[in-house]
Amino acid sequence: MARLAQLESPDFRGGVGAKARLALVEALLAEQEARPCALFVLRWLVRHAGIERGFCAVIDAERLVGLTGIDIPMAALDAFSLGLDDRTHPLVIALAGSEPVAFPNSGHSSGQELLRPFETPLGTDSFHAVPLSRTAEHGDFGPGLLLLSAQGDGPLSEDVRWAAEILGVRLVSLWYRRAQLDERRHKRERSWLFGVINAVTDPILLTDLDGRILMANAVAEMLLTADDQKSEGRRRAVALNNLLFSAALFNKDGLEPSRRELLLVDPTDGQDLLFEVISTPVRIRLGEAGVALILRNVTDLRRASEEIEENYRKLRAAEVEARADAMEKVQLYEQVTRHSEELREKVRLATAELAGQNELLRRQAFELEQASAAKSQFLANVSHELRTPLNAIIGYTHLMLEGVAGEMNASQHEKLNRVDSNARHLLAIINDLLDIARIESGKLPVQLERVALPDLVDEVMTEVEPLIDGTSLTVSRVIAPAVPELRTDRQKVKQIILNLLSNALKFTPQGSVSIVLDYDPGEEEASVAVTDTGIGISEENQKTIFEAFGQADSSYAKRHGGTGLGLSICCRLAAILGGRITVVSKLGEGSTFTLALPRRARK
Amino acid sequence: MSQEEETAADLAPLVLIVDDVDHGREICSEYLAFRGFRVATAADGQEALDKAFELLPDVILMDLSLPKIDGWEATRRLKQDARTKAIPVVALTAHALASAHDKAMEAGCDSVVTKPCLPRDLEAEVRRQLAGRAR
Repeated sequence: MARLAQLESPDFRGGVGAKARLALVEALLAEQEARPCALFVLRWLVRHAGIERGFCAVIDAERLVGLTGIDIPMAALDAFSLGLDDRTHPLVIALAGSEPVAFPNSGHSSGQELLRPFETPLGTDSFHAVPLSRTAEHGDFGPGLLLLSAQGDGPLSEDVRWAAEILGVRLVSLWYRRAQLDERRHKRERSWLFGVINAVTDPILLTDLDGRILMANAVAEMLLTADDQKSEGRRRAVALNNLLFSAALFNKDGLEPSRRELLLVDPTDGQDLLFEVISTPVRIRLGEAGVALILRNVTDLRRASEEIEENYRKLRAAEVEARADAMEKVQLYEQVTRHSEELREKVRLATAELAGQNELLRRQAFELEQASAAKSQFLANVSHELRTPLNAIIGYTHLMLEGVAGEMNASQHEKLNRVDSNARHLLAIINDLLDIARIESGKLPVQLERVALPDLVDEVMTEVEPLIDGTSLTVSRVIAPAVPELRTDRQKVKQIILNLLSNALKFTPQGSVSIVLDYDPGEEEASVAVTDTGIGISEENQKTIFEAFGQADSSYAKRHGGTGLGLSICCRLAAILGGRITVVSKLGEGSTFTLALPRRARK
Repeated sequence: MSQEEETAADLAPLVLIVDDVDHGREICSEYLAFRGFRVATAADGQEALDKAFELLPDVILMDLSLPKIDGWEATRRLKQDARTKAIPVVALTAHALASAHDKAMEAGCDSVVTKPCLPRDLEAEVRRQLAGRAR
């Protein structure tokens, strides 16, 4: 403000009125941008100071560049750019000075051509380079230059210098404000940036190429810096970390982007921390490089990764074990398969052998059946062939005995009776043999019916009465009260009882014969016991009496007309009915034959 | 033999004895004749049929194992013929098996007598059959 007051003061030289100058100042103050300000000044100079054409160049980032111009091609203006490094350049020299410098027409006289070894948007016209006013804050140079081409060759008016002065002041003022605004914005942005960087939990650092830390976020500072107020242990940890940090990172080429691992110590608790370091070269300032470092905490990651590796190793081990196990199983399976195959083969052979034996057995059974049938047929035939001549013997004997062929004397009659008796004995034997054959061939039909045993016993007793009549024997019968009806073959049971009773009577010269009928409800078995006081049977003979022709004393049997087959047949018949015959006997004292019969015979 | 002499004897029952064995025929015929029966004989099944149709006997004693036509077949034919079906046929066999007995009854025999048998028993059976027929 002090300068403006000074500008507005009436103490001015030159031909332009104070009013025109005031108008320019007001216009400049009203404008906030550099380019319009420069354009106002140029137009003002064209109007009030005899300037034909010209342009304003300003310093921007170490270079002098075109800002705006009057009657200057836009392309030429944009193309204008002059580095300030070349301090020998006439325009740089003009910029550094405080007085306008005249550059005469380069095409008019050959002697002055050397003065113009550069191009400007003004072409070959002669021009004046007028530095804008310098301020203390702006270092070696003012804010820029006015390059003006005037109507005549005379010196520039005082108005030109004045206008350049206030334009310079105004531009510096604008730049200063802009710089302030920029600074504020930068500060704000820096604080944001730091907020973000500090919010990152990984340490972030910027160092120069020697490893000196230029910037660090909060986590990095915690690890790598410690003031005197911190504890001794913490300072040591930080010192160690710095050592590790420098050693790990800066004995290599820090300019190359790289990843590496870095082990640091947590100063707060002394735990090991493993970091993966990502370093990237960055430009710090013009011509100077640095390194940006991001340390990623991979401690947990490493631990997890180690756990994963451990698990993977265990898995591998388990897999190997499982594979071995599987191999063992495969081998076992193969063994089992082989054994099973062998077993199958053995079974096959055994089955084949069995089938062969079965076939043999079947054939043998068939042959046996055939043989049995043949035997039965043979017996039937033999029986038939024996009966026919026997029929003739018995028949003719009787014809004679009956007197058909005339009367015989007593002696002839008696002898003929002997013939008859023997013929009948022969017939009895043949009949018994035939019975046995029928039983053994299973051709004896069994006819089951309801049989009341007491009635049957009475029936038999009646039939043997003629035998009793001729003797002095006492014959008794005892029948238990609760003998149920049996389901059995009446005819066969009768045949057995008759045989037993006949035998008892035949083999008992004196004494008694008793028949006892009983029933065992537990066994569901009826019993018919025939007891005599007869000749008895020795223990030795008891073993054979049930066999064919097993009579103990054949001579005795002959006397009584027995065939010697009776017990054998009875025994077989009892078996057919599911029963049995047993004997208790003592030689000379008597015998008891017992027939046991089930309540229900099975066919 | 003259007709006049035979007149009274004509009233006696006529028994046809069929047997291929000579002594079988002889024993039966001699005994039955002795006991007052009229008798005729045949040695095989065909002859038996011829005699039966010709003489129409009161009882036939039929052996079963016969040449030409066997006793079973002869019996079947007799029982199928209106003229002879009422005549009792007593099977006379040396076959002692039950199957032979059943077979004879199936063929139509009225009873079965197993050989050997006493001539006396045979006469009893003949008289039984005659009595049954009379009733």
